[in-house]
Amino acid sequence: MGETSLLVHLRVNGVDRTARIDSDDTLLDVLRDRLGLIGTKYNCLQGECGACTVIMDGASVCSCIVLGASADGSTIETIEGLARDGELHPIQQAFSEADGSQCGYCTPGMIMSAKALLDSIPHPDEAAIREGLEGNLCRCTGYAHIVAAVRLASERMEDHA
Amino acid sequence: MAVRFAVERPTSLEEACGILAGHPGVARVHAGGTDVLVQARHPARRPDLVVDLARIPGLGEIEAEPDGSLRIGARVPMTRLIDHEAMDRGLEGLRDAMKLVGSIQIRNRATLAGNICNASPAGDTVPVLVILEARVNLVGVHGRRSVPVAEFVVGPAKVARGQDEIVESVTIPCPATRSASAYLRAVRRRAVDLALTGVALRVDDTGEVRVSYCAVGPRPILGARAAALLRGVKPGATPDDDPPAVAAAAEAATQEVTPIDDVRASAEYRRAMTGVYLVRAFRLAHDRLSGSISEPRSQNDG
Repeated sequence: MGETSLLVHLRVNGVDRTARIDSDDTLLDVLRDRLGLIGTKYNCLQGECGACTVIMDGASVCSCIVLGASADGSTIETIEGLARDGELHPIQQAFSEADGSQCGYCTPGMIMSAKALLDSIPHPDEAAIREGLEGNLCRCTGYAHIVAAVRLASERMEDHA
Repeated sequence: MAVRFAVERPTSLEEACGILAGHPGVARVHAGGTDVLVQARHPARRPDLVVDLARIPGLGEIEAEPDGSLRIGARVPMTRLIDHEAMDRGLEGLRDAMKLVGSIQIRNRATLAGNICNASPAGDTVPVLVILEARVNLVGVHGRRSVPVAEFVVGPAKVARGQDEIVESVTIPCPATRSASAYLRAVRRRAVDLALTGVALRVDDTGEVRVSYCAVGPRPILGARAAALLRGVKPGATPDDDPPAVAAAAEAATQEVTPIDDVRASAEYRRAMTGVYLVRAFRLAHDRLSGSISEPRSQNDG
């Protein structure tokens, strides 16, 4: 009983995409293996580390525990969609300047969570930044530079508003 | 290559129940997927069929019923419910609990119905739903029925749901008197962690108190003794000024729970923390009832 192969239509970083997926594909599998977007990282596969975070219909989610079939009809933003015309997004730029990365593996997910945070709270204080990034683990930085990067990004984005 | 599970995407509850009734293997109902997709990788609870509710209309609403009760559709993500104004009037404890589930990413997909059906002993929303006298509304091939959450959650990962039945919505009755509630938990990390002990407490204008604990037994425990000792009691201006009944209730709380040792904490620690968090939840609920709001910034605020 049930489908084992499905066609899903989704809008990824502003582009309409269609993919044939397996019924047990997660959104992470769809992005990486079906659409070739490997910026989103594969890590705990339990929704506990946030490395796989993308923005789905305006809300941050752990793509590793989103059913691929659920992506049908959805709008997805991944790390690949942030830079425009070769220019880094202010959040990416801030991470670079504030040393918000060491190994970089948590970074795409961390930046997508930061984007989701700043999309809803443009000027978060430190407590709000830390709360906004609660679902993202980093084993390298101790988080201080990440928080500084997000604060720097929020100031820069305010300038552009 | 074989898939781990097939997917069904029914367009009506009737169709969904029929699929569940007729499936010979292990089928799981999918709303947000934050438990199902994790468990799909583990041998013990792996389904071979996932029944996705996304194409069924009418499951995504938060509605005030004519009698004042709140009906929450099975597919409402916790984030949307957290932000809902109905959480301000007596249901603050439910908001407290949902804000502690997983992480923002989890809450953007997770549902109340799913949290109940997963029936983790540490499930944060369940003891709150118990003291709020919430009910799950089930649909099956034989029709509809409504069951109190307190009776529906039977044990770890076990709910009183027939194979063909789906939770369509959760109903929270309108409190008969003005009331306030709170949920606090002892926990190691601020997010993506499980309660070591969780205390849900409700107090109303008549001085009536209801208490329930999670993570200290196979399913939420009703805090009958602590609640009885706190009836009509008001907290002092500071914890040092609390009337003796508060300490007595804290002691009673430690005795009416049945925690176990596990990788996260010892039974002894959980038992002791139950008393501590009972007092904190009591103070918070009373502050909310009296209007001198003190919203905790973090779990560690006394």
